[in-house]
Amino acid sequence: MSLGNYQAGGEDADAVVLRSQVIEDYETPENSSLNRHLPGAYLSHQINYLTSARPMATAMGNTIRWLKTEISKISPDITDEAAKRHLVNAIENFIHERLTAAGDVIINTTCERYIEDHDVILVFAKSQLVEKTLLEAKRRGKQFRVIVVDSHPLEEGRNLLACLCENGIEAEYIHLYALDFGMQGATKVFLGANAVMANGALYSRSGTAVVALAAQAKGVPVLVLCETVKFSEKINIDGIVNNELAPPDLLVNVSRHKEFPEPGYLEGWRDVPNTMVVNFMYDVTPAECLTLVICEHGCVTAEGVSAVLRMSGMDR
Amino acid sequence: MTDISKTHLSPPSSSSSSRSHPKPGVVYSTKGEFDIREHYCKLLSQDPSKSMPIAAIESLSALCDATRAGTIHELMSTIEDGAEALKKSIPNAISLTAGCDLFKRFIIAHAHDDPKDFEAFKQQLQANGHLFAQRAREARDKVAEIGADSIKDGVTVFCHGHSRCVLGLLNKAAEAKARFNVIVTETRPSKLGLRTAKELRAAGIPVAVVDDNAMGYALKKAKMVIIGAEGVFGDGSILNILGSYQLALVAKAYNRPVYVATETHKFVDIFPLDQFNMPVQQNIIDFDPPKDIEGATPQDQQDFVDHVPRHLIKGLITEAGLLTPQQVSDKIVAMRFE
Repeated sequence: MSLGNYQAGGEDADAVVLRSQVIEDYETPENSSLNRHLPGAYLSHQINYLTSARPMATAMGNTIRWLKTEISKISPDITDEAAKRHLVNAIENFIHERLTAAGDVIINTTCERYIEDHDVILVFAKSQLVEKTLLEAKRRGKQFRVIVVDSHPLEEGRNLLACLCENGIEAEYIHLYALDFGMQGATKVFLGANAVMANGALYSRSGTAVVALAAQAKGVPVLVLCETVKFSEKINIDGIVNNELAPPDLLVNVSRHKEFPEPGYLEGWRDVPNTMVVNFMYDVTPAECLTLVICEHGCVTAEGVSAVLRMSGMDR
Repeated sequence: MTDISKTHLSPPSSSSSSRSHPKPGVVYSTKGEFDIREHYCKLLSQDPSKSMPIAAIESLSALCDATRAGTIHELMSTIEDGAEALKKSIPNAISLTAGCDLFKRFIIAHAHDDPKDFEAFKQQLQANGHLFAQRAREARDKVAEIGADSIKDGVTVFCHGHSRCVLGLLNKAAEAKARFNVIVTETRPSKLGLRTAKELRAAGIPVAVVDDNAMGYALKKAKMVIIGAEGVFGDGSILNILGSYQLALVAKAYNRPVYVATETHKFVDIFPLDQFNMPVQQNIIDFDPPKDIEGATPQDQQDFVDHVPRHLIKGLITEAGLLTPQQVSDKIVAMRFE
């Protein structure tokens, strides 16, 4: 499954698409009603399966919570067929409103107001939304340059770099250790998000916090592109709680080719007593380091995301 | 009903917007033309105490009267065209954008009250144009009332430029028998600081006028900074007369609080990243100046502006109370969901 191999970026989208199929396949057993049986006895298994592949992302949590609310709203009087049709429709709408259209609005806002000619945009690793935004800006004829900052072990930035090059966008590729050099020429930093916490902290690929701090030190504005489905009502105290751990061997490998791993100096670390290799997937960037968050409701300050959650009625 | 009016009226309005305008600031429609820019400038010059958002609202209101819209859709598109024309014809349109947005929100909020009685709605609109102006004056008094409390005996307040809100606030404090001094910069090139000094002296407040270059020197002797704002942005940062940014930076260095006295009708839903990301055209850094000019910017230039980022602002004194920049931001974001 793609989720488990870190191949799938937008877990939220996958989850919903999967769910839509799952509901079409569902049949209510006798002596039970759909809105009682479906979430508890049926969906929970699917959710457990998903979370066994990867820990639950904020967007996934929000999506599942939304779906359960939708199911609970279904009247027990209507037939299974009608209920299923209603749910599948609702899911389609959700995908359209909260993911597709939301993404388009964010891309449009960013291209219109925050990408100007002669900009040098620094990005970190790979975010689908950031990638689409850069391509759209290029399509609109904006003259800009991109610096892709990447880091070991996932090196997702290469994927982005290839895509930028294919589309004729001038791009530079550096690793995290050359960040200071890259930041000197940058005029803006664009970041994707896994989640934005209620206190405005950004939860994103590990290395993001370093980039945001470096940008702040150089006075470069940091913009976060994030759909509201990724806004969380929770707070992470630091980068360790609720973090996801990737297999340590990814970190141990020093080879550039995943097919031919080379353990390097850390070979045999499992036999060394009191030694652990920990591969954190995400880190937490404090709100002070972020200039603004662009979501489908427009721009907000990072501290303002919880207000958006409250006002758009999504916390219910 | 709405569908019919749409099909009937959208062609003329779309043709008017697609036509190339021979003169900026003029709204063209099937029912004649209206120079909204001229009206706006006239309002401002007639009454110097009128702020830009209110002048914008009154101009739009006058436009509505002049074009005699027959339906709510026609009215909306007229206002939309008027706001666009006005924004395009004025180099710094941020403050008036706040007014235009306020007016549009008002109409959208009340358009569905009673769609049948359009004439009554228009009359109500007209009355409200004046109501806005009246409310604006009341807001300024309320700001003065709230802010005057923070001026204690023996303090020295540092000011920059000329703001009706700040003047109202200081006058109110003087009326309440607070004994305080004011240091105000000359504020070149407009020299608006001299106007502030003159008006404060007339109210019996001791004022020292300092050169703009003396900001860093003189601020040490002040307890707090109070400035006005031309516009308040979505993140709680403000737009104000040139020099405000450096004043705020010096204040930060001395750890003096910077307060901004402003009415909430200057709140505008724009999020600029910095000085150069604002919808303002101003040629301050000029590598190719006119031959006869030796000094800095042309001396007749009156309306250069500065962006003061939120982290330099301690609080905003508004008619809704003393707010932190984040509270202001929340209020502006909340306007989208109204």
